[in-house]
Amino acid sequence: MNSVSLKSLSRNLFRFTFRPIGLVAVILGVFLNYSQATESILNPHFLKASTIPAELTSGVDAVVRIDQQTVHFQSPGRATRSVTRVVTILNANGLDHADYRLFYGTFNNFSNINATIYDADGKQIRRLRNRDIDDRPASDGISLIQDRRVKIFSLNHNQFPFTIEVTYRETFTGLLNLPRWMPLLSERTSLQEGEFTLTLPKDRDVDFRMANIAETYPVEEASGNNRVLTWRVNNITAVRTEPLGLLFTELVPHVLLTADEFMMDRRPGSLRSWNDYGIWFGQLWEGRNTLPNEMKTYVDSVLEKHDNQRDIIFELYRYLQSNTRYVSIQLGIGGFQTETASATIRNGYGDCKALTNYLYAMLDYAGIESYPAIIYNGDERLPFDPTFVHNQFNHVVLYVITDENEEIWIESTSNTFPPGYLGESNSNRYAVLFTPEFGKLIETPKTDSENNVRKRSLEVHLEVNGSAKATLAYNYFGSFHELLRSLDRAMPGTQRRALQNWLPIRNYSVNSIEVTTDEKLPNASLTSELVLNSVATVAGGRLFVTPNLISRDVSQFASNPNRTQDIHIRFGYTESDTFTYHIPEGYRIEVIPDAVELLFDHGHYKMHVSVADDGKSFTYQREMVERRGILPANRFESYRNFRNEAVRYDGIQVVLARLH
Amino acid sequence: MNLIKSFLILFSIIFFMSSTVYADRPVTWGEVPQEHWDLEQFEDDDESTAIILVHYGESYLDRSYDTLLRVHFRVKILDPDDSRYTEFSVRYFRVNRANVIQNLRAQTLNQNPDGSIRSSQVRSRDINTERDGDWEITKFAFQDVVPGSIVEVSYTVRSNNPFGISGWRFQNDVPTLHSEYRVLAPGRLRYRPILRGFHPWARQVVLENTPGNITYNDREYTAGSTYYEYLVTNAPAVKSEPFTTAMSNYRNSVEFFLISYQMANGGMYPLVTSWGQVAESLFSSDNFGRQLRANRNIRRTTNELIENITSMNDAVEVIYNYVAQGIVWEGGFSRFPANGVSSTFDQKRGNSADKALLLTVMLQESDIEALPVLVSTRNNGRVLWDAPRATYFNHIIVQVKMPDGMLYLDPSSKYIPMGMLHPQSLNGGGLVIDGREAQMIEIHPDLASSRQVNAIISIDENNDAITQLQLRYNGYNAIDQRVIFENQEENEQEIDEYFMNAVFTGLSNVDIQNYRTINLDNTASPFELRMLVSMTDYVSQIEDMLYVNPFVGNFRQRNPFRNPTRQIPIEFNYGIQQNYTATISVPEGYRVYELPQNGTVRFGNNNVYTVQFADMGSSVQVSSRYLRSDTWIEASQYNNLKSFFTDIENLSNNQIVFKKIHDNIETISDSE
Repeated sequence: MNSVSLKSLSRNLFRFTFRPIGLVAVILGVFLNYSQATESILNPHFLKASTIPAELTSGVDAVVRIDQQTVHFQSPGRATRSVTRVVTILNANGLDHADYRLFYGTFNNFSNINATIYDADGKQIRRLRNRDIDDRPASDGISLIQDRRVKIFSLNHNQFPFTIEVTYRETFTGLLNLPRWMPLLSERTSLQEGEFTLTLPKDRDVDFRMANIAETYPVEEASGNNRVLTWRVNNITAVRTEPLGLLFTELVPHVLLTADEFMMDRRPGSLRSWNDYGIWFGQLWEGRNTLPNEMKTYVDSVLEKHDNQRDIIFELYRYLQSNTRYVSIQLGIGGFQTETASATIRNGYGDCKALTNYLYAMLDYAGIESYPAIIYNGDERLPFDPTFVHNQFNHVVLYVITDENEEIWIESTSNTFPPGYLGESNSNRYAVLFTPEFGKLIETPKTDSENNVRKRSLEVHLEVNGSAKATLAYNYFGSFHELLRSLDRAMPGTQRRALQNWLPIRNYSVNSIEVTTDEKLPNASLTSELVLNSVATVAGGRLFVTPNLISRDVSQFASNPNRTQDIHIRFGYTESDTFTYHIPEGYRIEVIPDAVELLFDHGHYKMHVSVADDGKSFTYQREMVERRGILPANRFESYRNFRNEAVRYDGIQVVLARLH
Repeated sequence: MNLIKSFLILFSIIFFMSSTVYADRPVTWGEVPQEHWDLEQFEDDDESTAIILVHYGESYLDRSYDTLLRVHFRVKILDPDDSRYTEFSVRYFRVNRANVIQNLRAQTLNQNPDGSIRSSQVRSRDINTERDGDWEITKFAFQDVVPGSIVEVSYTVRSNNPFGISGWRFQNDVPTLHSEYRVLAPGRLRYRPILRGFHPWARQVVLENTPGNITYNDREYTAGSTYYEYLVTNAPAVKSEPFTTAMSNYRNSVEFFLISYQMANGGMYPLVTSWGQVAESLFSSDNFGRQLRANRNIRRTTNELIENITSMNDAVEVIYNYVAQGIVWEGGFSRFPANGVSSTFDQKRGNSADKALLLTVMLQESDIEALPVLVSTRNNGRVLWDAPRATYFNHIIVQVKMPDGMLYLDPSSKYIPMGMLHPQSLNGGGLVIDGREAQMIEIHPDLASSRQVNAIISIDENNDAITQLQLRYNGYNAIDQRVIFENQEENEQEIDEYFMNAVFTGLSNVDIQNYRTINLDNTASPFELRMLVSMTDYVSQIEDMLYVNPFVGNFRQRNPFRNPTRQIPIEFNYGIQQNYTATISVPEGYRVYELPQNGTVRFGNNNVYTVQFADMGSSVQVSSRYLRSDTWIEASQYNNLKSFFTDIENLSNNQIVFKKIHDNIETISDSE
């Protein structure tokens, strides 16, 4: 069997298929949909490797000679895209450019796929045949059941350079997502010429956002009853991402489009405003939240028990968590529309939409105001512009507002989160609340160094031979607590194995382990008794201890004095560690390091060792704080220095001497 | 196939009679004994998220000579967050309706507090079937699953292959209380059951050529059938661990190899029973023998490649490199070519079979004696050499007859230099196919994999350590290094980070003044890395003593094992040797005060670690040697192996102490 490994996870374009914590997050499908085509009308010089301008060949593995795309927006329910893409692959590292994966499903399809390989002189080597195109289910690694598929083909050759020309046509039959143009899709690749043309009827309107394209574009012309907008770029050298730098998509030319009106599965909608956007979803979900009678009886019983909405919400969320589990099923419009509440109740499972809708139905029956909210879960791939109404989401959560005006955000796919904790991967961003009557863009809770806190402590009893018994305690909050909380329900063996993977030490045994979680706060802790075979090294009548046994950061940044991009600290956190060591009989504390305090624009590092009054123990305290924010590029060397210095002080030693 | 089938139907005597009730199936739909409801854990396994209560299968031929496999699977769910047993999927070859799934039903059972049972049936609309090429996958999620739920599914796979008695796996990655498989084969089909695994069998029954009628599956069968029954009970979970081969090597299973069938005239028609017959069947196969032909393009390119080459070794090398490096490897390991030799050559891509067959063709085209060798990779499982069958294999390598002996080529990965095999191919042996003949060969990696580190460390008055480091990698150890340094000019930052985080782990303030690689592209020679570094936090000074770690950076031997216990043997791909020498010198006026102990630890006869420290006055010579030649170590030796590594860590964990000389030189014993 010919199995092709799918390098990318990206599949379900803006369908809501988020898998809860710990599994693969969904990536926007946009980066893969390079796509079109009529017969090539290319200037043949694009097919020759020798005509690449010299400045485009340095530090690259491939050059996109031309990426020409034409989108024809015919009606709210139909558009076509024609793609011609010619790439010269200079060496074996550029062979990724020879692999094509065209994802399709209910709302788009591909036709007229043609591809040809040319040698360095532009002489045809061979053409792609239909039987070379593999068509298979586009498993997203998340969904149990889904209907997206992918056409896969590869245009390899082994004499470099060689050039591939690919043309195809993509037909869209639902325009919630209009195609976008991004001719450069990877680093170490340059672009000779790019042209993007949008044709639409005169009475239609689209909104767009563009980046890294000259301000003079688009050029607009009239052609019969159509408007024709054209964007062009040329001679774009390869971009390079930098650690904590800009997103790749911020560095390359691209055009994003959004339609004034669209049609999906015969349901018309508009993207003129977030309000319109929300209404479309609201109507799509309408009438799917009827509870069966036995559930009504259950909700009634909860209502009787409590006299404030907060407690009711908490109890109903706990009920959802203990009676359902996450199973992702995405079929057709079901990628956007929720399963009915009654089906979800019967199944006891559902995806993010179904589980959110289930809780929404219960709260609705209970008379509590709540709204499903569309959101993008995971690391940002494309900067979000709140003024641009654009479907770039992959997940649904629930926003609840009590009669006392308390906002409670709920992640329905988590079986363990406390009510009101939305998770780091949903925080610090926008979501769109939706109902059949309105839609509203609002911000989700912000998190920073005061929310994401991990406190670690150790109580170590050292022996003369360097071994020790120790009590370990983690007390985690916010983002850090998520993984710990997920262990709460896990089998004891799983907890042990997880701890084993977290601890950066070897040759020890775990005598006990206990995980506890807070009912109402995003807080979880773990305590464990450990026996450690070697904590200290013995030499010359001395014991050397590196007191930072479990929170030592060893990963350093390389220098980059030519840094160009600002430093984006996208995760704010606090680490606070207290490790106490009781020294063996017959030893004294000889050398302790001086206290250290490193300050930086967006954080600090502090380290301090103190000796107990009786001289029989010492305590190592460490605090590392980084706050979210953006620093100018010229601060990179200082930032690197700050981080690398912290690594150095994490490795500092305490020396114990044998008493004579 | 259809021809054989009609033939079987035509000549079969009345094979199917009705209908005494066959009542002793081990499981009845929906009936769960209370002890299974009460079960919370299997023995001392506190990690498994589910327990397989019953896995029962029966296989037989029906009237139309379809093979039916009826399965009943019942699992107790301990942790519903683990979807492996709360979701179900079965994948089968679908072309020409080769297999169809019938009578699928599934339900979740939950016990209410009052002891009554609540059942949630999976509805047919919630069952999804997806096509993937020639395969079909049927899947669904069980409803209403909470900790303690019991899920069960039963279905029949109808296969139109009358010889297709499927195998059975009795042991899993979670514990299995009862796994049973019953097979009734008509007498005219003779099978050989192949058993694997280490867990004791609770029952093994073979009733060959039954003298009287037997009742099976509600039916009575005429004399002359063969009945098989296998049972495993209380089998613990067998989970993957570091350093193992295929899990199928360790789990109890049975497979049925058809060895002959009876002709209409009563004679027995023998099928594959020898390796020679395996070769015979491959010889005329479109997927093998018929692939071994060069087309015009292949011939031309081959001739161009070897045009000016005079030595055989060079010719083999240039052709090997053409295929290993010039043809993209995709699709992993396979015994079947995905594209075929011609397409692989044209499209410059193929799976491991495509690449190996193309290499064979190109070598043969150059008048070099080359033959394909079938191999089963480590992840695919061991070959049972006394039960010949082509289906064991999932990979092809190439044997080349050189003047001084046989050379084996494995052209799948571009990183593997000529003459070395992919680490996955190191699975004991292979089958050389020479036309219609076959020969089993043993394959052992004779190429030593090693790492040699030589360090010259001079500590100056400021306690800065100026270090010349020479790292030399051989065999498999060299491959990883070459990948890292492949594009060194462009990956400056990545390489810096590799040095900081993987070579000089735990040291900060390491200034790499220069480094260079030797033999980066010359894969036939050892890969070498030479560097000059200065380290400012390598030495600790306390009063008049200098404390120095004898092992710079990341070159101390580490214990690779973390788990407290282990059930399955430790199987390394290959043996390794790692040597370390260092000369550490200190400034004028310092003398060695204390040296760590010399020592040697052993594990068995073939694994040893030695470390020695020599006092040269103002310098110390350190040398350590680690040799692990054993590649197969029994699970019962796990604790000893772990202690071997713990002893090594303890031996290499100590520091060298230098002391400033005053008028009276002290030694440790004097001072105490």
